[in-house]
Amino acid sequence: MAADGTRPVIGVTCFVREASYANWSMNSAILPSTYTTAITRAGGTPVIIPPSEDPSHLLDSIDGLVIAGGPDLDPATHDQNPDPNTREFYPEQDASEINLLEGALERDKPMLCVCRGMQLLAVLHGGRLHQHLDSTPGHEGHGGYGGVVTEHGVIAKEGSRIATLMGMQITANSTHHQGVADAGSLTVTALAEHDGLIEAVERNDLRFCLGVQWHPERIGHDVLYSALIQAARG
Amino acid sequence: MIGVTTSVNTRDYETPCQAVVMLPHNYPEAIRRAGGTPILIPEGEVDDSLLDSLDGIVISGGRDISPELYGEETHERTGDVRPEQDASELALLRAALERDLPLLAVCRGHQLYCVDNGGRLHQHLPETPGFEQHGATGGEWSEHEVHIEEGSKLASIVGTKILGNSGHHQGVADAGDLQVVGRTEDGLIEAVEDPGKKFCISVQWHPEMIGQHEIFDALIEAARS
Repeated sequence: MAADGTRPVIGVTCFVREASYANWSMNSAILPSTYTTAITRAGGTPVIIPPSEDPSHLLDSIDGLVIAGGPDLDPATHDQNPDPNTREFYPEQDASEINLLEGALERDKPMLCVCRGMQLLAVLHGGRLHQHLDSTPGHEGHGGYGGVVTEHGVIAKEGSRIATLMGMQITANSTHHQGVADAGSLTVTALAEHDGLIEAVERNDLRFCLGVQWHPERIGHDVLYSALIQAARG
Repeated sequence: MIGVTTSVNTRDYETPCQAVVMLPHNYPEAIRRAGGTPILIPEGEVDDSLLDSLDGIVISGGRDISPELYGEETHERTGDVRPEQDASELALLRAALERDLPLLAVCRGHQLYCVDNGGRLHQHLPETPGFEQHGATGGEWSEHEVHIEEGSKLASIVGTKILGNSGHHQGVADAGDLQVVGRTEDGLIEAVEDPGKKFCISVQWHPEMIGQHEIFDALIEAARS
């Protein structure tokens, strides 16, 4: 565990996928290195948490947590049947991250939940998701997905943590086809400028609990990682 | 908690041609099966807060190491080297050994460990006299018997004969100050250890791929004590 002035250890979740190595292919733990480099730049030491039945015992060895983006959640996690556009989901991965996130909430570990991570945070607080924004009235054309990345404005609520860190007018990247329909008991602190989709959620009763729909690690929003690490030091 | 090193590669994942941190999943699975908790360590600086949380380390397989590390020119078949990864793994290896953390080095890890102890590598076995038939490379795998020195730590775990798998095109030519405890029929150095350490085993083959659980069991047992 980190003391003042040292580099806190930040755990990041990852996926397991078939991936190629030189001339062969293997089931592999995989994570875009944008996460680990953002954590390093912000003053933390990244470690990667591979999915397992219950990784929550690892929480005693880390100072903060990032739930990374990835494929859709199993709609059963928010009591829905799969929409025709919800094609790729992994119940075992969901279970692993749910155990980890619940453990982190219980222990009040500082956490940043990105994209899928924010959706999971919302679901754990009683929320639910739009399974396909392009067929959701009011959110058609929300932004890019399936490899396409777009940008749009986000308006943060005055006095919120996200507004304190980034101001009230934010430019976010967008590469998701699902979105948070209902954030449950979380506080919604930012909305997309063009269609009002929930873009940031927070819990103010915890040291640092922030979820964002966009990918701050890909567009230089290092201030969010710095804030996570600052909280992880405390 | 056992830290395992990883590799950065460029792959189509989420977005095209993205840098991703990767590790074959059979490493964390083997560690978990043996009762340990795996955590993956990305390339970067090593600091005390990380080392404090680790009970053992695995230096995993992967790309070729930079021939500069053993004072040689790069052979035409040596490719895809990544000096940042070499530096990061060497820093972790040295810091872990200084703390006498249990260590298992695999394939690339085995080669790096030997080089760091003054050894050097054969850069391409299919063109190295005496090792032309060593084993499969280029995406193929083969198996061969490895003879383990009686009385070694490794022999106490797996016995004096073990089947190793082979998919590597480089090999250890000289293990430096380390004790050679395993060779194939052609004489290639397949296993080394440092008897002065609590648990320090290094193998050319991939025990995590072929169900050699006893090696991981022994690592975790050492990490517990």
